Amino acid sequence: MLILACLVVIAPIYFLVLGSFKSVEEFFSSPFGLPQHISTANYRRAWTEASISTTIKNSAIVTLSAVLISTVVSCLASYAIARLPFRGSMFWRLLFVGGLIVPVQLIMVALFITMRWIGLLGSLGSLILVYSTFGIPLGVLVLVGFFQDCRRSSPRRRRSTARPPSRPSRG
Amino acid sequence: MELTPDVPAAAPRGRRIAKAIRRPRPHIWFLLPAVVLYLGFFILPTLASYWLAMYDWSGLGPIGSFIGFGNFRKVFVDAEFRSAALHNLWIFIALFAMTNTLSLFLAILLDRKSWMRGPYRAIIFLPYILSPVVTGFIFEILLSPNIGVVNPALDAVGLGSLQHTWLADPNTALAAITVALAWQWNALATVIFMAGLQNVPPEMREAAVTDGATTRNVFRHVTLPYLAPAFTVVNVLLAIFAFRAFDLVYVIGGAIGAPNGATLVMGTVIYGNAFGKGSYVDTTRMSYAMAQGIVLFVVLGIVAATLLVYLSRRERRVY
Repeated sequence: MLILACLVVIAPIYFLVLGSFKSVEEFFSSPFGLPQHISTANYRRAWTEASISTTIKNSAIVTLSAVLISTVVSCLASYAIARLPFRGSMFWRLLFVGGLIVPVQLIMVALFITMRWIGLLGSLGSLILVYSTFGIPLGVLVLVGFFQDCRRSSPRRRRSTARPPSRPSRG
Repeated sequence: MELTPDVPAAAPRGRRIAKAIRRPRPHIWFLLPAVVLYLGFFILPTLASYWLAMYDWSGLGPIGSFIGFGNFRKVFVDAEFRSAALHNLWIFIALFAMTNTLSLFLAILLDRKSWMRGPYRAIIFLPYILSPVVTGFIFEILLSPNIGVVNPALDAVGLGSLQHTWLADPNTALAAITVALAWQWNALATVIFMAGLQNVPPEMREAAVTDGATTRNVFRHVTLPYLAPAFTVVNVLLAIFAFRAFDLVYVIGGAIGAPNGATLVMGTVIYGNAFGKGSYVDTTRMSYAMAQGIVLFVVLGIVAATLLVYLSRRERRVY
């Protein structure tokens, strides 16, 4: 049963990976079969014609930076919401998590104008900022629950002056 | 933990207010980075789009006249948007049925402490990691009548009569897209259910078994109640995923919903209205798209909030 599920899951990916090593005619003639000779021509074409070298670099930079910023910022905010008692905590929690619902198309135009105003339009920085912001709702959702479940691990404080025992000691 | 000197209760009001203002508020500094980012790049654009939706703007050129709720009134009589909303609902119901049966079943199968559990879980989670755009392309190629493998595979198995032009037939196109969405979504749902199943204390299960409960009863009365929080998370995320589905559907169907509007979802309709549908010359209707986006937002908010409240209440009843 599990094998069946794994097969279903892997089939499209298997097809994708296998197909990438075939030449064009082979792809059409025997889609699911193993490639006759493993040709890396497709990868070479992707590298040069589709400028994958640039796009991978961009993706890596944007993803790493956005994940870093988003995680740090969400952790700070979630800790405050979960552990520090303040009056607006539920409001901020709902506000952050409600961001999951907003459809992206709604914000795209305004973001374009904002980025143009800041001067970051067309740069990686704008992508980093936007993706960091979009990562905050899910991050806060998960981390607030996590921080609330964490046991308080502060060490027990010892009394500074001696007090008599409150219970009769065992005889 | 008073870091400011104490002010006697009898002090004049000014001094007491000043102390209240100067009271240490660490939470502000913790919240500040998140709030700054969020306000600037999320809240403000959303509010701006509310404001824009009340004007008559095509997206290019000067912003037109103020028309108040005119766009919203148009949204409610728009047949295209309504059919897209029905498609979203269809996707939601299909995914709902699949997730709460298939994913749950898979998660339970994977719950046994076998050495293969880690690799299995990694493999099953793989579809969710793929970008929706890539998934859309894969399924578009797989289902294509010329170079696809689904039709030849059906023929090889002997079900040749089921062959179809999956993506060109208005009756099956949406189902095909739903399969692609389910392929991605069930991966995440299974992993969340697996995590939820870890929280079921084994002592309860053993106690029930020693009390003579059958496997099915153990599942129904011990495991399922402990899965309630996981149910909440999965179903609310499912609602959000189903109504906000865009990338995959756009790649397969496009902004016009490839076979005659059969694969339109609200996301693609909004995109088509905001940025233009395909290559032929068409006026963009940005403000109208904003209004549609707000309607989608409200609808999704209602659905998600309802689900959340209902499921949380059931959760609390269990615990």
